[in-house]
Amino acid sequence: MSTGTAIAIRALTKRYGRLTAVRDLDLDVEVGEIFGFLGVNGAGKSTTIRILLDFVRPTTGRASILGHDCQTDGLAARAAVGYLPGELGFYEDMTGDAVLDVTARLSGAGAVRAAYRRELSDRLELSASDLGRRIRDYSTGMKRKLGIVQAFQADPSMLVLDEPTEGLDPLMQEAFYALLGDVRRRGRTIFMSSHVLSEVERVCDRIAVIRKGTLVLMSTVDDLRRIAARRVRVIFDAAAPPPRALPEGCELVDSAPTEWHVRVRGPLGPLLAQLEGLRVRDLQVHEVPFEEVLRPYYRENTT
Amino acid sequence: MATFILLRHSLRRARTLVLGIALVLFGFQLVLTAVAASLQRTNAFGALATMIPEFFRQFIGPSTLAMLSFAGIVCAGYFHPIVIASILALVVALATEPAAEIDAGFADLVFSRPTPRHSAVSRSVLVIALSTAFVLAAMVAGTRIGLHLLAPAYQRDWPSPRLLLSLVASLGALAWCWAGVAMAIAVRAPRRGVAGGATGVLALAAFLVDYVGRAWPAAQIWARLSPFHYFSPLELLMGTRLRPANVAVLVAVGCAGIAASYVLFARRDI
Repeated sequence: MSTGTAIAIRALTKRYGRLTAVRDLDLDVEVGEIFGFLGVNGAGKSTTIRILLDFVRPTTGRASILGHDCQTDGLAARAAVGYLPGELGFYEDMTGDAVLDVTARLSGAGAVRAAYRRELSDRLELSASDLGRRIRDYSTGMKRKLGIVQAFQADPSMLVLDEPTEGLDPLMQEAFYALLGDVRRRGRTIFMSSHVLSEVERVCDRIAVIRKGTLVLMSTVDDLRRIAARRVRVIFDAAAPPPRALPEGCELVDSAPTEWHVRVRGPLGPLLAQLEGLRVRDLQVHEVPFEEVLRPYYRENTT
Repeated sequence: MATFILLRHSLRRARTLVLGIALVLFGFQLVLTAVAASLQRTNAFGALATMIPEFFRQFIGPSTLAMLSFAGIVCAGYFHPIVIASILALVVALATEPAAEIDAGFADLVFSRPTPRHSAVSRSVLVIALSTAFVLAAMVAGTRIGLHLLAPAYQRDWPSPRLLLSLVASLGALAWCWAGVAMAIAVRAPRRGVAGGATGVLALAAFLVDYVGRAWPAAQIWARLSPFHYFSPLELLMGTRLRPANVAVLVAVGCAGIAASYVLFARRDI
């Protein structure tokens, strides 16, 4: 699917006085992938996104979208982007239709197809009467759905989504994931920040974790799962003494006369080889939740 | 293109405020004309002049007589402090729209599209120009309609079209000047309230500097720093021609503020 670089960030730094919001960040996002940009609040995610959209000017370094420099060629860069802000700044006295109309016109003449916009509204269950109402009458979830429609309506090559499912009920989250799947199949690139790690695990191809403005992890979701330690419980028919040594990547956490608890990083093959000749009754493998895999990268003093 | 999309959006949002002020000032001009006609009918201008304290008459100077005339009352709306404050409040509200959009987060939706930064400033300039022209036109319409309906008997005493035009030009230039100042402040301000408040305080200070300068010769030199120094409607009322230099100063300050707005808004973080 990948046919080039969608986002290229090089040595990007942004300082606000003494505070360094983003520090020497390098990042590449490939065309056609769903990229999760993670970190705790204040880590520098929003600042990075705002630099990509030229809302904020970097102190040093540069960023580009689909080959267009975000600062010197920002109009061309943003012409290819649909953006869903984390905090939606709709005027309360505007109707949903008015918001969509203004943002559609600003996308350029003919950029938005009415049929596609209607399809998006239908999929997210925003009826014509909903869109005719003023924003002040909208619930949080409806505002988020309106934000999603305005971001997707021009069918842009790239979507930058900040906390896209915040405020959506589980059914709408499913509808949103289905929508993401569709646009990805059409080769669109998605750059999203999220605090919902189960969502990231489900939809993202690759992730980056940023902490205090510094990149601390970049990996595919599959690799992360692969390198994550699994817990293996080995149950024996008869007492089995604790092993003197285990293969590389395996660590004995606990043992009982007929049980071993082993933490395994990487493939299970070497452990299974070691168990040969022992009277194994059962083997239980527990995958570590994605949250636990990522949690260390959110904390300080972990790289 | 983006400028006109934003212009349409802003005019739609501002229409209630602009129409409301235009209607009120239109009505005020009608009322002033009715008052002037009533005073003229009862020959009350002389009696009114005797009611003004001597010190105040000296403070205002010979323009007292001009004010206490049929034309003076009819034209009072063009220099009444409340009217000036209303028009300045309107232009400040319109000029601070870029700050309001950033404050509300609407700017994120606008500038995440291929919208150049200068479009937002150009939009505000056009909104201010169109809205101010509309309000001033409503005032002139109120004056002219009032004269035709309520004071046809005093046709010879009507303020001349040239006087009306001069008063409108003077008031329009003052509004333009403060629009430029407000916009230059607003494009750097974090919130509309901050920008509006700062401009309001600055306008009040400038008004008082001019006021003190007019009353106290020692302070006259400082009054030149105030835009209100270049707004002299009473001179116009007394028959002096509109001084192009005064209008030029006000327009130039406004233009400088707008030029600064383009530069500052292009450089700021949103």
